[in-house]
Amino acid sequence: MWTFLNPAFLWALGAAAIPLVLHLLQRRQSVVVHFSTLRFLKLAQKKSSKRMKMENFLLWLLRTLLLLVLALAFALPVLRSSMGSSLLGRSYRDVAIVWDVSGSMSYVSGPKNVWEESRQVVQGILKDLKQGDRVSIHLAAAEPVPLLAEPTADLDLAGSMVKAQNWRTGVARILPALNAACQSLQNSGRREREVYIVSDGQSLSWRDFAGKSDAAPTNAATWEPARWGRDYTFFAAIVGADSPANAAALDAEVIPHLLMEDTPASLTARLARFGAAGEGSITMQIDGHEVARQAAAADATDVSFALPPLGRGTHAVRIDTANDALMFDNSLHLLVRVRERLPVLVTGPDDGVFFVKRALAPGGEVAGAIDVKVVPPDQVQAGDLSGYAAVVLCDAFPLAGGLLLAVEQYVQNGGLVVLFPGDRGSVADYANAGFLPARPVSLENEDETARSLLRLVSAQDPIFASLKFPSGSVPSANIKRRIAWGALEKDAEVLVMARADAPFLLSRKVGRGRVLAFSVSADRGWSNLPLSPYFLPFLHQMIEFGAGSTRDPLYVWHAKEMRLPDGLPGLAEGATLRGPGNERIPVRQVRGEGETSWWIDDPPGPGIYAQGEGDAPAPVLAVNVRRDESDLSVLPVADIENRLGDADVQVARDSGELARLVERHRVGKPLTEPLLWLAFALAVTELFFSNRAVRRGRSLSQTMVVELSGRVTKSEGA
Amino acid sequence: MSNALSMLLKPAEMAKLSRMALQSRYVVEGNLAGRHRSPMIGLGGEFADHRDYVPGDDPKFIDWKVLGRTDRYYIRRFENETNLRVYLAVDGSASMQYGSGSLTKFQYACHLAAAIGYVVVKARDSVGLYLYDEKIHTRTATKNSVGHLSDMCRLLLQHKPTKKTRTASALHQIAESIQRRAMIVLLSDLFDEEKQVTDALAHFRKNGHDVLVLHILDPMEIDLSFKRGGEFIDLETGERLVVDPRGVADAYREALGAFLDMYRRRCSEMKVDYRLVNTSEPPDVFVNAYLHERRRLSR
Repeated sequence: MWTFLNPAFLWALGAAAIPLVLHLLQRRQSVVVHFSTLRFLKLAQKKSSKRMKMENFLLWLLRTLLLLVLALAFALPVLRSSMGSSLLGRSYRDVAIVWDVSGSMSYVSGPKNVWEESRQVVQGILKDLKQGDRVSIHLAAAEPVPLLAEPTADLDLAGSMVKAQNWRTGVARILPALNAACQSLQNSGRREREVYIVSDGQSLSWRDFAGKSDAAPTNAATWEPARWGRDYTFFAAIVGADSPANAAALDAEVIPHLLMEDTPASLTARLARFGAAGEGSITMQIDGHEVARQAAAADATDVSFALPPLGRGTHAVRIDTANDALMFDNSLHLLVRVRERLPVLVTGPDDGVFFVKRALAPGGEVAGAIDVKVVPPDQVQAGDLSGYAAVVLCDAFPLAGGLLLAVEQYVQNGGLVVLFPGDRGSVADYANAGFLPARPVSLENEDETARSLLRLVSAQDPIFASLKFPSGSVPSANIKRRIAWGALEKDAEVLVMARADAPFLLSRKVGRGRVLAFSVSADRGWSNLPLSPYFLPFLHQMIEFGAGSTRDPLYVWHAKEMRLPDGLPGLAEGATLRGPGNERIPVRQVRGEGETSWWIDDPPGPGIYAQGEGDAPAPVLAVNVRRDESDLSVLPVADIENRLGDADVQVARDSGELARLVERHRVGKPLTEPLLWLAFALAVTELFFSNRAVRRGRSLSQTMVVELSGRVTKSEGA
Repeated sequence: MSNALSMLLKPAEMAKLSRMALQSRYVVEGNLAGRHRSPMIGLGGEFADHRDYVPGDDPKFIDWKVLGRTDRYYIRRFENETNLRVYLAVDGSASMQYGSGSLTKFQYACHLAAAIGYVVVKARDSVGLYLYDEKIHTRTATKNSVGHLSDMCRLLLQHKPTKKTRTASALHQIAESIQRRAMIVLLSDLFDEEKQVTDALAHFRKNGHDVLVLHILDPMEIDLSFKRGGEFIDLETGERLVVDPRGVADAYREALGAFLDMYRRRCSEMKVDYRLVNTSEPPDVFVNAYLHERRRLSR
């Protein structure tokens, strides 16, 4: 239980006998006093003998204790609980390690290699364990990954697993892994339980403690130190760089979303910088060739590139930022799809589709980039509409039930639906179209001679992005009849207003697609819109910029189980993809309610995934690591302690400091300071007691007032 | 001046004391015509009061002024002054041998006795001595000469306080031996049975004597201000006691305080002039202060 760091001083314990020896010597060497009478002394002694004996005993005791305590203090005693445990047969400890394996742990800057340093810390923890101690290891990723779920005494196994472990792309959540680690020790039955958190201190990993995690709240996402009791000791080894710096391309956008062979386009990469990341160059590669390079200032937030003319097909684009300490986010992979033709389905009566057909395909159905297919509503196959870039409904309501469902599913899957009302359908016929931006409530007749100026409410919408009007002109229309809409549905907005109170064009995001609804018909019956000079460019803009914006994402985020975008060609049972390193990746089919989805498990990493055999398989998917880990903001040490709350936690900045903290914890708590405080208290008490006699009472001369003449004028009496 | 008296009183002290007087508070009977009130009211002396003239009175004592005012005859009566006899009862027991300063209590008592005796003699009054311990050791007659006083001093200086004390018994004997009213000055530490001593003082009072008690104590006896413990030996009984006075100071103060308070109360009740004398105070200072006060109170 006890050990002494300075046992040589224990000889001083003999000093405790000094008060007794002095007392005995003093008794022998008493002063002899010849006194007039012992009468009053005897009376007084008899009256106070017990009290005096007690006081003398207390004084002796205080002095003896004081010397004992001082001697002990200088001998530097240490309380060792492990030694106590060995007497009781329970000397072993259980240790749980929470190891941050997120992408930020791959930070390398000069000699600083965060991952390798963390591995050394973990190995150091294992090395300090003694035979009989047990260890569990829990990896802190997006979800906790048990490397060794339950404590094991096989330290060699643990060591080999640590040696083979590598960091992973993706974020880390410390809290669930910490709870899992504590849980693994809960039933250990051992008094010594230590939990180690090895991390780079990235604040993102600690969001759960502050209730800021995006993950769904679960029991694993709350921290209750009281739940684990006082037998747990927590150590946090924060091995990240003090001031990490990183730059990354977070996202990219191609305008327009749908590229045609002759469509000029631009690519804008959104940048982020953390810490002291300076300026650098950004490069763009297309299909493996560098095609552009730009310098990005230190405070630049985005960089734009003009896309060169690209041939029909899918092209792999890569945006690279300058190499820095965190490599996994230096590249952003994209897939840009260039179409030869844009298939658009136009359905409605002949007079309803006339102007639309002419506007989208001025040279006829087949000629031009937009491939217009006109089908009467009753002949539209209610099957798969996914092959169309857009579906235009011109006076098509009422729609048959199957077609209505097909249109809704088409929108949900990323399609663009453009709706023109007409005379065929009444307001009630639109009731079942749940994908509309608002429910039509009535048909309003207007003064057709009055010219209504069309005001762009959402001018920033991509539909209007490159829309240019002739100089001096303002879009307007003479409206004879229009639909009056009710309240806007969720995710709906007004894009164009005819007057202050008359929405002209509404938009609504439905699923991954979009619905654009006009208030007037596509023919001349309701307005002169089809005859206006804005009709054709407006319609083209809607189709080109509105269609496909979400159907074909530029990339997807890497995940352990990754769902493939719908519409990828060639997906079938038993299909495989090729990973960035040409590895074969099986594709898994999942049949759900009314839908079928495709998944791949444990994808190898970021890059371009392809499909097909041979030397040039076709790129079908761009995968990037989530940029959450790019934010290297560091959590201050004090905040780490605060977030762990009342738990007994010690934080170290490197393996050396961790070793010292652990040793101090295990070696024991020095008791010198408490003993010195005790000695101080004893000394003060002894001083008070020993001087009490001097301070006790006043002498008789002070209580009696005796004049010079001997007259006693005042006495406080007996 | 003889050596014994001069060993106790310095010339300066004597000069100062010769201007002082010790008067009895009560009527006494003396041998000579002196200044002390005599119970004999009558001829000579200071005017006392008037009485009706009766045939046969000496006409020279008729107060003519009163006759002129009242047309009635009154005789003037006078108080005759007489001399004072003072008996000094000095405790010569072993306890009086204690002294923490330059003087033991006995030496201090001798000094006081010499001073008081000198004042008495200088006033043409008489002084006598009783020296006692466990019995009356020495007795002298009362005389009003300096030579007699010096003899008394010599007897005192020759005495060695070694015996036990029996104050009460000695006082009773003294009371029995004094026939006529006088003034008794007791110089003692009174370390005897209080009841018996106060009974003895009552004896004096019953006999009409004026009693002055000078309770002589050493400051160490009063305050017990010893710095360390030790083995205490009783000077009279030889008994030993190991004690640390610091630890018993409160209880000692309580016991001694009760002892002193008892004497003070009982003396006050018996109209005995009780004075507490601390030997740390120079004897002449005490004597001067006391005589001044006594004189002031007697007016």
